[in-house]
Amino acid sequence: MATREAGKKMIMLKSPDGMEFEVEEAVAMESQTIRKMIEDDCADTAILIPNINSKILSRVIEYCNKHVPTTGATGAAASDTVAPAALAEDLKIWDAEFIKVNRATRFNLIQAASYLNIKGLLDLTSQTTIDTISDNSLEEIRSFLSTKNDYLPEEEQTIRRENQWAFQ
Amino acid sequence: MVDMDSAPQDVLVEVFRRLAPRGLASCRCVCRAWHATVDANLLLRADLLPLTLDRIFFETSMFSTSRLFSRRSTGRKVTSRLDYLDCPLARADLYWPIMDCCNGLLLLADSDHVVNPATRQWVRFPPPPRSCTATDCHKCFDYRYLVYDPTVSPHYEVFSVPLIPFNLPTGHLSRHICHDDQLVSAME
Repeated sequence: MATREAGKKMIMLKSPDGMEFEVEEAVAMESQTIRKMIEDDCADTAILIPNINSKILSRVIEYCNKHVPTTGATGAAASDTVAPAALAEDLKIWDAEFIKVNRATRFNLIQAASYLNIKGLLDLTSQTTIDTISDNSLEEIRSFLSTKNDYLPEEEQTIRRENQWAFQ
Repeated sequence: MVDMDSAPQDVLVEVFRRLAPRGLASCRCVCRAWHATVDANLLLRADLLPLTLDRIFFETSMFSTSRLFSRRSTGRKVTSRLDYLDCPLARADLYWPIMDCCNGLLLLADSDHVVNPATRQWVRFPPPPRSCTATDCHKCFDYRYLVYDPTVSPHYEVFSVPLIPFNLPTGHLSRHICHDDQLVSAME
């Protein structure tokens, strides 16, 4: 364990509520935003991540830790023996567990993934909402996502007619 | 309970950005805020979808070149000649049976091509596995079908369905149409 971690550059991430997270540079660089900061030499000490509280930030780091390419902390030992397909399958199962959170947390994760520019996490966190919108009628979308219809009936008809092809 | 009404704008935009046009069109009708978000970010490009009938390809016989029927419009120049494909048959202007078409894309029978005649873009897809593996068999063949709905997904799919012999008793193994001894186990 000690030999594997030796020589790895560490980065300090700070949340606005004062928590500090020490992560490997490779893990932090899963975020394109942080990668840019590191490459531009703006990250010599700690990086403050605005708007993302420690609870959400720790979950984001957990995701990046798992998804960092297998030379990183989690997969180095496994990658020699396990086939890539099995690893991908394992990752899918892990993702499905990871995303079992309430809607508020999911929205916070979408926001964090958007700010930190982590494509995989954005895809994962927005998928549930995308499925809900894609697979249901207007009334079901409103009810599942607790969105209020503030259109007058004739207004809704007009907007519907603008994209009639979508309702055929 | 957090509802989508109170979801921050950037969350909405991130979700909407990943939606197919059909989903986006629904979102515009859900409520005023969603309508404003979709339109302000120019997320729904209905103008890029082939939603109107512009012209028709037709074949007078299986052995002649396909023809194009269209209005004398000012739009893009589309031709039924497919001489821009990477195939000597096309350049020689020989016949090109169109096996299937779907929402503006053509599937060519013998050459494994999918073509968009409006943009002249084309791809040759990898040869699908044959259902009959008998050597020199010319009787068995697969029907191919093209599935493409750009309001749902920007991707098309090609399905290969083997020609199923007549009088196939259900629940029984059948043999290929060429009467080769091989069983059509995939059809069961």
